[in-house]
Parts: sequence; C-alpha cells; structure tokens
Amino acid sequence: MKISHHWLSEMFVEGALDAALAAWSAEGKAAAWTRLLTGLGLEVEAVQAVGEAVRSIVVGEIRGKSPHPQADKLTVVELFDGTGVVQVVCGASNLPAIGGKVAFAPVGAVLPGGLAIAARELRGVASHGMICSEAELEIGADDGGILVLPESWRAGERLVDRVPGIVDTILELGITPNRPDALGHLGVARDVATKLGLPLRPPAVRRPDAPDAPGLVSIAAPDRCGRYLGYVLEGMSVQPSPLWMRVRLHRLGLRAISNVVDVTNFVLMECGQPLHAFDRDRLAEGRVVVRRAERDEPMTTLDGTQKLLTAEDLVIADASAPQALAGVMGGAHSMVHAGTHNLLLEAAWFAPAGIRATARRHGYATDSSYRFERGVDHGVGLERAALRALELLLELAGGRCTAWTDAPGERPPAPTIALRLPRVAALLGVEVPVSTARAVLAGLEVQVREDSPEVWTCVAPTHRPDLRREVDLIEELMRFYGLDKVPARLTVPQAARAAAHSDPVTELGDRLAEGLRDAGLHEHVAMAFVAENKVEFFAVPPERRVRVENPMRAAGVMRTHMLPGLLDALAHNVARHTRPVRLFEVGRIYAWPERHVLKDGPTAAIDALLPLERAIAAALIYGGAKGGVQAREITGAAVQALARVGLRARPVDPPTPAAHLHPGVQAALAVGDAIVGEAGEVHPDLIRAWDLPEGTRVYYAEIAVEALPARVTAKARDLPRFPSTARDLSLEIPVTLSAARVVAALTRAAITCTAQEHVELQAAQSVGFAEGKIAPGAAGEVRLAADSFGEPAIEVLEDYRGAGVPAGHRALLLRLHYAAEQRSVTDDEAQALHTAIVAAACEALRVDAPTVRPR
Amino acid sequence: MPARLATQLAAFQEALARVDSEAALYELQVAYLGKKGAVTQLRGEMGKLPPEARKGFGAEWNRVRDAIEAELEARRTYLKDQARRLDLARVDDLTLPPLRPPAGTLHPLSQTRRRLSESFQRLGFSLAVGPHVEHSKYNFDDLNVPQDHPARDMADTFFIRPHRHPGFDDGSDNDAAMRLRAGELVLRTHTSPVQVRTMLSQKPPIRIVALGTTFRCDDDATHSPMFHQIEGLYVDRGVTMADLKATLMDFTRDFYGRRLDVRFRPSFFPFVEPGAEFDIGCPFCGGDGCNLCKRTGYIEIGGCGMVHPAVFEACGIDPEVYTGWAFGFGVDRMTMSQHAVPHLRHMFEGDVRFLEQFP
Ligand SMILES: [Zn+2]
Repeated sequence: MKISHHWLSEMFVEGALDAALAAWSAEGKAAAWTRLLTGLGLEVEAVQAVGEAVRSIVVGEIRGKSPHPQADKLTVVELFDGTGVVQVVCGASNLPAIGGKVAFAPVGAVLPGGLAIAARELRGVASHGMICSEAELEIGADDGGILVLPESWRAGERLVDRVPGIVDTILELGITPNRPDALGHLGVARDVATKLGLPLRPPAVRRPDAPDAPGLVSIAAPDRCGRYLGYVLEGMSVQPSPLWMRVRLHRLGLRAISNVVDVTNFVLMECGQPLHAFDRDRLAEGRVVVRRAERDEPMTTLDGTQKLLTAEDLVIADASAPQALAGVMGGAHSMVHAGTHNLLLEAAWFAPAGIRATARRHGYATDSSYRFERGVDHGVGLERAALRALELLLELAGGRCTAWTDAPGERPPAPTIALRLPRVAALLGVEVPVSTARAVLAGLEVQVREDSPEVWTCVAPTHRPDLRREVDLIEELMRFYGLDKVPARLTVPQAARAAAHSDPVTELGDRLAEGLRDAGLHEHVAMAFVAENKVEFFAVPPERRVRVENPMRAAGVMRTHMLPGLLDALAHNVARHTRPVRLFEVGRIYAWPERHVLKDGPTAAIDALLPLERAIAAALIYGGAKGGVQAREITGAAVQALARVGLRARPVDPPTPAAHLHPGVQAALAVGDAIVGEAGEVHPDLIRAWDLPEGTRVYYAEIAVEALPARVTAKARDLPRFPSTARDLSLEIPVTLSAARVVAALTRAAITCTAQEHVELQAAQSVGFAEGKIAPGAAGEVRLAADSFGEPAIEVLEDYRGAGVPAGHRALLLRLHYAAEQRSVTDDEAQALHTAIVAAACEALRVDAPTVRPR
Repeated sequence: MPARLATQLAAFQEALARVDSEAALYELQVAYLGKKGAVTQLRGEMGKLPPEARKGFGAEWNRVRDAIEAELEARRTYLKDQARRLDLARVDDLTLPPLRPPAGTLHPLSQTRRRLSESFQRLGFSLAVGPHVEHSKYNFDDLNVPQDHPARDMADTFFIRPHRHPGFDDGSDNDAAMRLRAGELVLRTHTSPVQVRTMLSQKPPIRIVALGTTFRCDDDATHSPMFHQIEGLYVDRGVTMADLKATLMDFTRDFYGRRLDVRFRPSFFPFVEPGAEFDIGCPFCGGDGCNLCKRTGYIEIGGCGMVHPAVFEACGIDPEVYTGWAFGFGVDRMTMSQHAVPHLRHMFEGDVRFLEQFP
C-alpha cells in the first residue's frame, strides 16, 4: 500500500503533521516515518521522495507555431514563459492553439529522469527549453503527447504552486491482513494521530440535501450485505480529471481514467472504502437489488470477461439482470462511459468470506475485493467515504444529488470486550501506564467505560474488525506504548527446563548422516516433490502416489523414493565436471498406505487421513569420468553408517530383488535377522533415463531409518587367552552364489559339527540365511572361533575369476579360525574339524548349486 | 708375544677392517673368541707348553683376547653410529599433499539445523516433529487461520490432491474419513502445526522446538518452494513477552557466542497476539553496521508473539490459566548468511563442488 505524506497531512490541521513529526524525531522525514510506522506495525518497506525535479517547471503560453523547415513532425513554437518569449522546437502532435498553456522546462532545468535541459539546435533550428509530457515529468502515465494545462493558468506560474502535493514523499507500507483500516490514508493517519497525540481533522463532509428514496436499493441477501448506501446523481459530465487528481492517483500507482472513476479510486485510497458508480440510465428501472445470483446466471464484468455465476455469488442486479459482482468488479453493461449523465453511487459493506470465495471462484483479485475480504467499515466511516465521493463528484463532474438511501442488512455486532488491566502485565511482562491506555483507546476511537480501576468495558469501532477480544486491545496498548519497552526478563522459574529430549528418528538420521559423511560422502538436500516420470521406475503404483494439486516446476508427485533426487544431482554434476560424485541424503519419502492404520491418541483421527512418510538415509557413489569405484564401496558406506548407530550390518542376498538396481549387482542390508536397507548398482535403464553416458556405473544404497532399533550400547567380551589357528579354504562356486550364502552355510555347518547347546541360533528364514552367535565352548573343546563381536570368525579373502576356474564360476578364498577355551589348538584337531565343516557346508550348498566344490 | 698369537691377532684385525654389519661382526667374534674360535683354541695349547712358559703365554693370551674384545666393541659402536647417521639422513617430504580418507561433508542446512537444535536443547527445549503432508485443521484452522480468511494468503499453499481413502486396517470405513475434500490436506506451510500437535498431546508445561522442511508455492531467486523453519513454543503459568525476549537473547548467546540485542516490531501472525517480528543485533558486525545488516546493525530473523487464546482453546488449554509464547524463523536464509552462500539455488542442486566447501 502506497501512502502519500502530503495526503496524510491533509488529515490534520494544516502544517500540524510536519511540525509534530519533526518534534517527534529530528532524523529527517524518511527515517522518522520508517521508525514511527514500523514501530506501529505498519512496516515501511520503502520511502521515495518524488517531484523535486518538477520545481523548475513553469506554465508556458503558446504565442506562435510554425512548421519546422527541415522536419515534417517538428513544430517551432514561440513560447511565453512569463518573462519573455523563447523559441522551442517540439515534436508533439497535440500542441494546443495559440494562447494554450503547456508545461515548460526552461534551459537549466533537470527532468526527473535526469535529462538536463540545455539550449541546442534541432536540425538547424535553435531550441531553448522543452515542452514536456506528464510521463517525462513523472506525474502521469501518458507519454502520447505533451501535457496541456488549463488555459486559466498564468504563464510563468510554477507547476508546484498550481498542483499541491506534486512534490511529495511516498511511503510503501506492508499492511498485514488484520488491518483493513490501514489500507487507506485515513486509517494510517488515525494511528499516526494516536501515536503523536495529534487531533485527527479529515476533510469535512455533509449529507446531501436530497430526499430518501427507499425504493432505490433493496437488499434480498441481508446476511451477505450489511449495509448499502445509494446516491442518485444527475446531470454529470464525464471528462478527464484535473491535474491534481491525476497526479495524486499516479503517485499511488493508479491510472487516471475519468473524473467519475478517478473519484471512486481517490476515496478508495483515502478512506479504504471501495465504491462503485453505475450509469443509472443503464439500470433497468434505475434501481438495484442486492441478491444471490441464480445458478449459471451469466454476467459480463467490466474487464470484458463473461462469467457463469453460482448461487453463492452475491450480485448487485437491476430489476432484471446482474450489474456488478458485488464487492469484486462492476458489470460491463452499466459501467460509466463518456456519455454517462446520471449515476447511482454505491457504498456498501459485504460479508468478507463471501467476497473472498467469489473472487477466488472467478479468479479475481481487485483493489475492491482485497479490502472487502479483509473487512471495511460498516459504520460512520462507510457513510463518510460515500459523502466524500459525493462532494468530489459534484466538484469535478458537476450535476447534483437528487435522492439517496441507506438500506440496512445484517451488520456484524460490535463485540463488548472486558479489558482487565492487570492482564496487560501478566501477558507482556511490562506495565502500560493507565494514562497511556486511556489515550490510546481514545485515539483509536474505542468506546471505553471504566467500570473499575481494573476492568474497563470496551466497544471497538466499526473500522477495526480485528479488535475482538481482550488480547487484541492489549496488543493495541503495546503497539502504541512501544514494543521496544518490553524488557528481557525470564518470568518463569527454571523448573520446567529439566527434561529436554531429542526425537529418536531425527537422532538416528543424524548419526547415519555422520557415518555417511565419514565414508567420504557429501550431504545433498533434494526437493521433496519430483516429476511423475521420475517415480515410474519405483515400486509405488500410481494410485498410491501422493500428488500436489498445484505443483511448481512440473514436480507434481511427492517423492516415492530417494534415488530420483540423487540421480538429478548426479546428472547436474556430470554435466558440469568430470570428478567423482559421492552424495547422500537423509529425507522422507511419501505414499498413501494400502490401508490406513487407526491409532489411539488425540491426533489419531487426523493422522489416519495422512499419507505415510518414511525416513530414509540414501547414498550414491559415482567414480567420475575415470571410474575406479568398486561396487563394494557402497556397501562399505552403508555398513559404516550403521556402525555409527552401534549396529553391525552385513550385506545378504535380497529377499526380493529391487527393480531399480542391477539384477546381478545388489544386496540387502541385514542387521541381525532384520533387513534394514538395500545396496547395489543403479539399473542401466535408469542411467539411460537420466541421460547419463552409456555404461556409467553408479552405486546406490538406502537405509530405512525407522526400521533401526534405538541406539545399541556395545557390551564387552572377554579377550581370548589362547591363540586361534587358521585354515584356508578355496571354494569353487557358481558366480550367482553369494559369499553371504557360503559364509552362512559354513556357520551352519560349524554349528552342526560342534555342540549345539553352546550356540544361539537365530534363523532368518526369509533370506535362507542363518546367523550364528558363537558362545564360549566347554573347556577344551575345539570350535570355530568368535570374532570381537561374537560372530563366526570366517573371513572372505578373495573372489577369483579367471584361468583355472570354469566358465560361470569363481573361486572364493576363505579363512576359518579355530580355537578352544583354556588351551591352544593342535594342528590335527583344527584340521579334523575344518574338514568336517567344509564337507557339511559343501553338501548343503550343493542342494541349490550342485557344482560347488573345494579346490 | 708368541708368533701364533700375533698371527691370529693380525688376521683378526685385517678381517675386522672389512666388517660392515653387526651380523658380520658377530660372526667374526665367534670365529676368534667362540668355543671353537681360533684364539680360544690357542689357549688350549697352553697345556703343552713347559710350565715356566705357561705363565708368560697365559698373560699374552689374555692381552690378545682383551684387545680383540675391545676392538670388537669399538667396531660395534662405530657400526651402530654409522647406521644411525644413515637413518637420520633419510628425507620424506611431509609437505606433500596429505593422504587422507575421502572427506565427506554435512549440508550447510544440516549444520545450521543441528546447531540450532543443540542450542535450544541446552536452553531446555525438546525436539518435536510432525508430518510434511498435514491436515489443514492443524496447518490453519486450529492456528486461528479460518477457511476463507485473507490470512491464508500469507502463505501460498501447496494442496494435496484428494485421495480415495482405502479404509482402515480393521476393515472399517470411517465415513468422514472417506470424504477427504479438495484443499483439506496441504504441504505444511510452516512448522506451526507441530505446536498444535504438541499442545493436543501433552499438558503444560510445554517447551519445544520444531525444526523441519516446509513448503510454499514461491519460486524465485530468493524463495524456494521447499525451505526450512524452526519454531519454538513455551506454554506454562506466568509466561510473558518479556520472557520471550530474554529467551531469544539467551539463544543468541549460545548460538552466536555472544549476547546480542533482540528487537521486537509489531506485526501480525494469526496464531499469536500480540504478534511481532524480531530482529537481533547483527552477529557479523556486533551492531556497528555492515553490508550484511544493510548498515542497520540489526538482522531480521522471524516472527514471534504470545500464543493466541483461540489457539489454546482449539488445543484444549485454558488461556485463563496458561500463557505461552511462540517464535519461528527460516533456517535457509540464516544458513546462507552464515556461510556467505551467494545463490539460493546452490543449496538444492547437489553440486559436489559446492557441498565440499562445508567441512
Ligand atoms: Zn552488520
């Protein structure tokens, strides 16, 4: 909202505002306004001094005109500037006749745009100054010709003396939605008056000396229209507004149109009250009905668009058809035009929610709807605005008011508010002096009845619909007393401070992130929404995807997987450099559940309507143009991340293969018997879909954060007192048989070959994999040694493929460690157990892979 | 000296001069003074000598042995010294690029989020979380932003397309739940619904921060449709705006390492009353004025105020008994100014050349 300093000063006794502002602060106009208004919650976003350059512009009188000898479009003008006649060359086609008045920039003037006027020759003819357009003077938008001034003005007069307020300071205010009253100069002036202790003196208005004509307006929807003031004006003459009016509107960013329209806009800016003027001769029976529209009733608004209305839209109709979309926009049929003579002027109060719904429904956002949906004055201010418009209309467009009426609807009640003064300090932590409270409420025109020193009964004025309860009044007191007077003081004992805690999932995610960082990965933050074609590769079917109704960047689906975001980032990097890309992200993925889970608790009913959000830690590794990354680095990163939360993870065969990963290069991540994630090479189809170079190897892993147990505390194991003995094993196996399966088979065999009762067996049937925990054996018994984590000491040393191994096979070199409690193991006993374990394991493995054999 | 002793001594001395390692020195020692060493054997011959010659020979033999031992020891010292000197002459240039495991980084947003969260936990705030896809009741209605109120325009909202509710896991089909209307679910426009969830779920005293991802349809050089917020809420008996100011100052001391001024400016947020914007003394210049604070000495941080009684009422807390304050601010802009990030887009592109700058 633009506010003019000059306009504000018209709301006070002449000169009073400038004096009071200077007395309040000596820091200069711009700084004073910024501090004063921002301190009141009317944030000053910008301050602009305007019109200074116009000071040197004078009225010029045309004394002679002759065509330029060298140029068809130029005219040589003899111009009287009040002291003498100068010769000026002008290119405008709208030069007035001899005796006409124009805006003249003499030699030495500097135009607002910075152009310095000097004597010069235009194609051989001397020109001493410039005849200006209003655009060149930045006092209007019209750049189609020069500014023609009224003939009555005297040559040599300065424009600034003729047009009050042409030199001004414009304040750009950010008005919050609770302050519709501040969407006009009068409302801002009221705050200023209260703050500076200055009496408010807005221009006086008076009721027209015309009869009441109740038939003029009927309100058929009193719930939607609280009040409708209608005025009949006859004998108007529609023409351009005088310069002061055009400048005034231009300064606030409005375009001057005609005196009638300009007056309604002027009052909008002064009082914050939208008005509408109908061409009364175009209204059937010359009267209006405020009613709901018929379903699908057609209407053409004054911007020329045709709308089909709904039964919830409020219209101002004449005896037969809608003539305005109430509070939003006028209709084309009855709009004011050059030949309009008789007007019906409307000043009304419409229910905010209805205006907002209609504006949204039909895609309008007008100055009018903006104010009505925030709530305009339905009391004194409404009539004041109407009368101010009436006054200006009669002044600028002639004619007279022949009838008027004030039609009542249902006005919102003004709430009675009990203001308990002790409550002010209880809420703010600072006392507001009673005298200040009294002055502030009076300044804001709140009616106060001081029932007791502690409790005041207040009724808010109709121009402040935001003042509805006690806290609203307390805020007003604070606003004017000064929010900067709130001290910094803890007012509650520290008692409640003890139990600060974190969120377990956030905590786990943070630790995983640290693990991935330690594995050399950089954290990325991707958008939570992606384009539909980027989620098609992943297992969530279309009906379970969570879609955004009004997406940006064509990203209409909440991500169902972390990989698209990481691949986007990878593609971004690959397009710009050749370096390795190692990224991770901890974020959420979204999907509608197959069935909603009904839980208990105060938010359960709402939660049951929401999609699932799962926290995922995802990692991506790409070796750069030179390659050189091994697939196992991705499992390494994942295992490292899990170690950070105290979990010992290992890759196992995936229970079901992931479609977005290479079928031959993927694993599930297991912790104990639970699968907590996956890892593998990104499927070549995805590499192609993301337009990455053919053959690019990219590795991906993810961990489901919520699947992890809360942090595990490691328990110490006693150190072995006697050395273990190792036996190596080279096993020829099909390439498709995983090392995890081989190790599992050896573990299982070890369990079978030694005493069962010493082993806690945790079978993970889902993956066909058993994990053994090696318990201390009976004294003297030889057994598979346990590593530091109590797991079988079976190392996988090498995966050999090449000479000497049949096609489709590989040789896996393993090392098994044997030990006994309380003594050393002899070579012979170790060998005997080893032979038995290998035989049993091979036999088990051959069920699925008959070609397994020791080498 | 008997000739044979002299010969052996000379032979030893000749061999000793050629010895260049401690191992060879040991071999030489064994060859002359070992059990079967050449000099040792000569002592055995002493018995064959006439008794009057024995004494003289014995003395000579002892002298020769002592001489050999001394020379062996001297040579050993010399060799050790040589070896040490050689070892010390080695040069390995440790100013060559250090070999370190590949360095990973946490995103600057994460770093700021963690620091904020740690700061507020030290000030006694627990971390609270909520869903990103939120119901408009928690995102708007219960926060005193009714349907068809212009305050809804303060945040350009992403709406979630209505979804045919599949029914519940117990087989029931809650009628109300099945009728999800357009506009009912949104991407949370702020972290404030976490306030509502917390107040619905626990009794005062409540002292929480919610930190997380938020969404608004805004996309330009300074706005990302996805961004991050932190929000604090404190509800108890006797909580005041003065307490809020003091707490925010305590926060600046913890977060910036020095207590900075906190300044309130009246503003409007539907869920607080009185509402304010808060600025803090510029942490970069200490309030003297610099480019980052546009010479004002203050940095605009976010919004705050006293919890609106309508919010308390929606959450079942009696505003006559309890008061509370809330504050909220954006994490992204704070992160960018902390790390002098020139463009917002860098934050979400995942360019490793950018990310690796934040060790
Ligand atoms: Zn600064």
